[in-house]
Parts: sequence; structure tokens; C-alpha cells
Amino acid sequence: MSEFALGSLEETVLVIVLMKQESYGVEIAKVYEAHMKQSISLPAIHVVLKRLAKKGLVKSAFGEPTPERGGKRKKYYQGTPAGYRLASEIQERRQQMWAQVPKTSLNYGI
Amino acid sequence: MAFRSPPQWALSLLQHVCPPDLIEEVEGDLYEAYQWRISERGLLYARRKYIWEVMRCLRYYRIKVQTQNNGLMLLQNYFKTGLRFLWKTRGYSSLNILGLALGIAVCWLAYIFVTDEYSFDGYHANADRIYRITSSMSSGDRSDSFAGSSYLMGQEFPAHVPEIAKSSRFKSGFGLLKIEADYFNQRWHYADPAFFDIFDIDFLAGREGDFSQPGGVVISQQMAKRLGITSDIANQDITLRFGGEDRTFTINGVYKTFPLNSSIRPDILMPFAVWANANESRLNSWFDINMNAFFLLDEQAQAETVAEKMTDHLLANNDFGEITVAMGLQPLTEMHLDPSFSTGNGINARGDNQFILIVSIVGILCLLIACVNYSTFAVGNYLVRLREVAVRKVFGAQRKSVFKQFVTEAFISAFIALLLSVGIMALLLPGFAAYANKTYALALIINQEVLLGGLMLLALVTFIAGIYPALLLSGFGIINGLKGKSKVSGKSVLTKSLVTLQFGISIFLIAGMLSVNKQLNFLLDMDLGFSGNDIVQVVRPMSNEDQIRRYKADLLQIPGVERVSLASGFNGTNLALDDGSEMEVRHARVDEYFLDVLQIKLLQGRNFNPDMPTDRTSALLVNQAFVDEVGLENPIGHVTKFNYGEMDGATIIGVVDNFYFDSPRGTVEPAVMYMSPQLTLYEHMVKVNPNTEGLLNDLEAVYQSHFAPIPFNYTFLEDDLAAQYELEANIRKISRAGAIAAIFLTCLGLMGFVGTQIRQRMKEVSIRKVIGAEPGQIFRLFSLRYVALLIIGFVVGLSVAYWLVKQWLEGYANNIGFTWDTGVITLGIITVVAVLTILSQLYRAMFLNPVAYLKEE
Repeated sequence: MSEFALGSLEETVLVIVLMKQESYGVEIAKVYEAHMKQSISLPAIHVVLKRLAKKGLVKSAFGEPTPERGGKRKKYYQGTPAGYRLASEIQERRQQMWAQVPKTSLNYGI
Repeated sequence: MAFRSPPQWALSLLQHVCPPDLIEEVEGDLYEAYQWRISERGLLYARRKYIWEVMRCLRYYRIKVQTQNNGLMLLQNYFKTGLRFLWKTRGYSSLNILGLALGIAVCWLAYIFVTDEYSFDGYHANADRIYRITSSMSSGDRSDSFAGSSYLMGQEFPAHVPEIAKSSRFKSGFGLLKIEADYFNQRWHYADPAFFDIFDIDFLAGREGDFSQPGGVVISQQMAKRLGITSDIANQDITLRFGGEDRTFTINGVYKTFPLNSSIRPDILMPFAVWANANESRLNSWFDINMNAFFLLDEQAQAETVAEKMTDHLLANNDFGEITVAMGLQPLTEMHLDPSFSTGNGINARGDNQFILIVSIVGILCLLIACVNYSTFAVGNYLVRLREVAVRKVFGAQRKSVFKQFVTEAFISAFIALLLSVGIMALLLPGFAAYANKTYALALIINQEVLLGGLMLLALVTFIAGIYPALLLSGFGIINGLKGKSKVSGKSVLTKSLVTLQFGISIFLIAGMLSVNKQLNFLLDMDLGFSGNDIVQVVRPMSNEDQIRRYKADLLQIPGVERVSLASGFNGTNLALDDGSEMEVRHARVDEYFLDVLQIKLLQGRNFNPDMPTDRTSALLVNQAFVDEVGLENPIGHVTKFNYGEMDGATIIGVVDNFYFDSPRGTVEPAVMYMSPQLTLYEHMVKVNPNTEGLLNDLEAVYQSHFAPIPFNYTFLEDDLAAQYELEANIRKISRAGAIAAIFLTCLGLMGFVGTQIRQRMKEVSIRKVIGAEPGQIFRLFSLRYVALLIIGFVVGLSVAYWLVKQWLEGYANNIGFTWDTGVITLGIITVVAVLTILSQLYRAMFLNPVAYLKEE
């Protein structure tokens, strides 16, 4: 077990952040909706990002102001090495567990 | 691409609540997402989503982190302190809140009454497009207005003025309703088919059917209940008796009974053709005004233009010579309160503006007194609160938040009072309804509009009652507050003027009440020139001379009947004078017993003599007003040109003293009386010995033997006379209740004010007593300061009362005027009440044991 327990939404958002060099709120929301097939509210993402930052799994930096943001700066998030390690560890463990699930079983109609 | 800006209010909300370190990111993200969602799913979705996300931000960022220094949190503290303080001073507080509740209840009842009066007829969907015909005629300096129209007007105008979309005549009819074997007096109404399109009428069963031909009728639910008809109206009919025969109509439909705030409330509606068929001679006259006609105008139509077109059409078909005639349209919603047009012909009696005004004044004044009570009470406690305010300020409270605190406290009291007042209202409502001659259902309290009124009252009371204490107490300086130095400039002046204001209001209401009372007593006791004692009056038209004679003879056979007189009631006509001018006279057919039965004094000449044949054709009795108006020096034997109903050579045989055959509010008009049969006899006045047993049964038996099946209806003339003053009696009732409520509230206020002052000066009183002050001296010390307030209040209140009462009295030809004794009695009442109230509070101070208060601290 890792030193930080991650919630399901936290884990998803962390993976999305790790996908790219850097990412910000609206972009994360778009990627989330594309992959998860459900919408999410921005404040929920903000809260999750704050929590991840507090745990040292992501770090943030301000970008340049742009007109499509009403003249506000973007806040870019980047994964930290700790964040990368934790995410890959979670994926690995899940992979191991999944490997033990039988590939064919009458119970599941396969 | 242009960027749309998100809803401004949501953005400011976000900026207001979002912590500064997050705002840029959140605002930017939301903005960007907003643009993206507009392009993907449209503006509405984006807006909704934006607002929703702002709301979500509230939850995450603000409430958790930033509540320590928040006005919202302090509010909780204000409520707590407020409730604690109320509890600490529970004796005076409960008096105070009770007073406030009473004031709110009185004001609320007044509000219910006034809104009900103003809501008349407004409930129809087309109410603002419905008008009724009026007309005016003027020649020279004389001008008359008529409410209502003729049959022809209701037919011609809609046919020739295109803006009139729909039209219906409306008229009341009167006769008997037969239920099983019994007959009852019943009113019904005639209407044209469009009546059902113009007005909102909900049919519960059936429809009106073909309303253009005589045939079926429709009835209200109330009437259906009376007839014992439930839901099934098939094969049901109704039997009415008029025009001398029983007539049976099929019931085609039952509609929901018209609401109480409607000027037209028909119980039975029948096609207008029924009336038209029976009155063919009256269908072709332009100015036979005996009905109403309602028009529904087009949506764009202007009432003035339509009225002008109506006038043009009228003038194109008529020649009125010198007389100027104009048609008019009165909006449906003004019918109930516009005093310039009469009601009748199927439209229920008008509301009275005077009465509404008085009710509103009483309501507002009572609320004002109650609010002032609260203010003086709250300010009266200022010494206690001074330190609290100072400590709050030391901890960093600003003037604004102290202000909020005291407004909150006023709100607490007002809210409790509002809840109490609902209870008080539920108790008072039945009584008030009877008082105001209205029918209010209890459900009336619990409708949207009235609840809205309640919330408005709450806000108003909080504001009026709370603003002064809040302004005053929040203004204290810290140091003075902590030292207990209470000198705040302006404080005592304002408080004193508030107390003076209360005195003034009470004095105004008492003086007004006394004047109304006096005027009513004066009218009731006024010498009317005749006596209505022991006279039974029966109204029944009779034109058959033979029948009249036999009926009269039968009545006189009854033991206990002393005299019988039959008369027509007074009509009006114009009389040509010798110098060629005309004057208006009232005239009536009477008989030889008229003067005797009514005890009217004969001043000159003689009464009618049935044995002289000329008395039956050409003799006149006139009243003194007639003699004065015409200027006859020697009236007896004077031949007048009075020619009503072809009377010829009418000669005055006697002059009677003036008597009020009409409303005693006006003056006695010139009148003539004759015996010749020009008019139908309507009224029998039977002078009876009231102590005779079974008298009324005998009267009814004789009546039935002549007029069955028409029901026997009688009144005592005395009761009728008293009923003439219904309006005055209502005003007296309301003003009396208002004055009592005002005195009571003022007492409560004075009690609270004096009480708190004395409690805070107990130590001073104790020292005075130790030094040797007598109770009487203490009383003078405390009460003399109120004498000046009382006198100022008295002068102000009485002046206002004098001015208003004088205006009101000008409506009466005979009035008492505003007399000095009203002032004296008012002063007496208010002084006694004030002294007793002050005494009840001073009692403790006057007889206290000084030691009890000096040993404290």
C-alpha cells in the first residue's frame, strides 16, 4: 500500500495530468468527458487538483493571459516524479489483480 | 470570434466569495468553459452550467474557510442576544410585543378590508376591457349624470360602433320564487347571450344554451342548493311568479356562484327576450334608462373614442334641442367605488369611499402607535444596552454592525408579533366582518395576496420600529458608553416628540369618535317633523280603488289597529311658476289620514275632507318649504299650475310643517300632496297599539285574504328610520373600535416608557426619599414632565380632528358643528387614562423602601 490513499476521481485526474507535458482546468475537464463519457463540474476538478498539489503529486505554474479566458492567466498543472510513481504503482497493482481474474467463466456468460 | 460574457451577477458572486489565491484560475476556467459550452451546446446550457458551477464554488471555497469574520455568523449572535434581552425584560417585552401584535392585527384587518373593496370586479379575465354605458345631460348650469342605459342603446351602439366587440344588457327583475307550495320574494337578472363571453362564468353543469330566445334559465350553485338540485340538472325546472302568473323555466345550467367582491351577483339569469316580450312599448325609446349595458371593447380601442362615436350616433338619430347630451363609458372595475354614478338595475350597492378612508386611517394610525411604542421602549432601555454596545465596539464592531444588531432585534419582536397577530386576527375576523357588514371567510387570511401583505407589514414594522433605536444606539461613543455617560444629543427631544405624537393620534381618534357619535345621536334625535312610533309599514302596490277601499276597511276591523293611511311615496316633477320660471317639487298621493297617522303638524288651512268632491280632484296640501320657496304670502286658496297627471286648477287648501320624507342628511325640499289618483299607492302605514296580542298575525291574515300568494312583508317605521343611518352607524362602530385600540396602545407605550425610566432611576428616588421626599412630590416630579407633552399632543391632535371633522360634517345639512365640549371631554379622557397609567408605574417608586435599592452595588 502506498503512503497516500487516492480517491477514484483523484486518480483519474492525476492520470489525465500525466498524459501531457502540462494541462489546465478546462482541458482536464474535456479529456475527462471524452474518456469517461460523463460531464464533470470545474469546481470539482479544482478541488481535486488542490488536493493533489497538497499531497505533492502535481505542481502548478501560471501561464500567459489569453482572451478566451477573459484576460485571465491559465494555471498549468504538471505531474511530479512522486505523482508519476504513485500512478504507475496503482496501475501495476491493478494489472496484477486483473491477471488473476479468470478469462473465461460461465458465471459471467463468456 | 467575439466572446460572450457570463451572467454578471454570478460573476460578482464568484468574485465576492472566492478566496484571492484561487480567483484567477477559477474565474478563467469558468470563463473558458462558458465559451466552449456556448459553441457546443448553446447559450442557455452554458449559462445554466456557469451558474451551477459558481454555486458549487460557494460550497468549496467560502463557507469552510472564511466564516470567522462574517456578518452572517454575527447574525446568529444578534438573535441570541436579542432573545436573551427579551427574556430578561419579559414583563415589559411581552406587553410591548402584545401591543405590536394588536397594532399589526388592526392594520392587517384594515388592509384586508381595503384590498377587498378595491378588488371588486377585477377578477374577470377581461376586466380592463369591460365598460358600462353612462350618459350625461346638461342645459345651462344644470347637469345630470345617469348610470345605465335604455334597451335601444344596448342594441344600437354595438351595431354601429365597430370597436364594441361584445355587448350584453343587464337588468334585475323582481317577483316570487315558488319552492314546492310556498312563495318567496326573489330577484333575478336578464342578460343577453354575450354576457357569458364578457364575464368569467364557470359552469358546473350544463351551459346557457340558446340564450337569445325565451326558454331556459341558468342558476347559481347557491340557488341550486336552495332548490335542492345536486349535480343532475336534467329535467329540472324553476317556477317564478311575475306579471300575475306562475311561469316555469327549464334549468339549462348551473354556474359557480359569483364571488363576494363582485358588483353583479345574479342567482338566476334569464334571456333578455323574456323582459323584451313583456315590455314592447319600452324598446324604442332612447332615453328610457332602466337597465345597464356592458360592452367588451377591442383590445386597442380607447374608451373615450368609443364614447364619442356613441354620442355621434345618438345625436344623428335624436334632436335634443338646447340640451347637451353626451354618452360615457364607465370601466367595470370603477363601478364599486365611483361616487359619481349610482348603482341599481342589477348592480349591487356601491362601497363607500369615506368609510374606506376612515378604516385606512384607523389602521395606519394604530400600526404607527404600536411601532412608536416599540421604539420608545427600545430606547428607554438604552442605559442597559450602552455598555453592551461599547464592549462590542471595543471588540471591533463598526457602527454598521451595531445598527444591524438593533434592526435584527426589532425584527425578532415584529416577527413574534406577526405570528401573534395572526391569532388575534382569527379571533377578531368574524366580529370585524359583522362590524364592517362584510362576509369574510377565514380562508381569506390565508391567500397569497394577504400573506404578501403580512410580509410587507413585517418589513415595514421592522423598519419603522427599529430604525430609531438602531440609529441612536449605534451612535454611542465607546468611552462614554463604558463610563455610563448617557447624554446623547437629540435623544430626549425625539423620544418626547414620539410620545407627543402618540398622544396626538389618540386625541385625534377620540375627538373624531366623539364627533361622529354626537352627529349620529343628533340625527337620531332630530325632530323629523313626524313621528314613526308604533307604525307598521307594508309595501304593496295597489291601483284598484275598489280594492283599496275594501282592504282598508278590513284592516280597521282588526283590534289594535287605530288608523290606516295609504300613500304613494314622494316622486319629483317640475312646476311652472307664475313668473314663467320652473322649480322642482316633490309630490305624493296621500289620503285624509296621512297627517294624523304620521302626526304631521298642520300650520294653516285644513286637512283633506273625503266628503268634498273637489278635494279628490284638485286640492293640494303643501309644506312650509314650498311656501318659502315660491314666496307665497297668503298660500291658502292659491291656485297653482301643478299639473302632474293632468291635474287641473290645483288649489292649496293647507300648509303643513316641514317633515323629512327623504334622507335627513339633506334639507326638506318643497313638496305637495294630493288625494287625486295620479300615482299608484305603494305604502300602507298602519298606526297600531303595539300592546295588542296577535296583531301581526291578524294583519297578515287580512293581507293574505287580499293579496295571496304574495308574501306579507312588513317593517316598523322606527326601524326604517334607524336603518337610514347605517353608514353613520358603521363609521361610529369603526371609529369607536379604533379609538379604543389607540388608547390601549398608547397606554401600553406610556407604561413601558415611564416604567423603564423609573426602573433606571430607582436609586435617585431612594435618595430623595431618604432626604425626606413625600410620595406626592415624587409623583409630581415624574408626571409633570408629561404635562407639556400632553398639551402639545392635545393641541396638534385636536386641530387635525377639528379640520377633518369639519369637512366631514359639511356633508350634512343639519350638523352639530365641532363644539368645544368635544375638546374638553377628549382632554378629560386622555388625562385620566394617562395619569392612571403613569400612576400604575410610579406606585412602586412612591412607596418603595429606599434601603432595598440603596444597598445594591
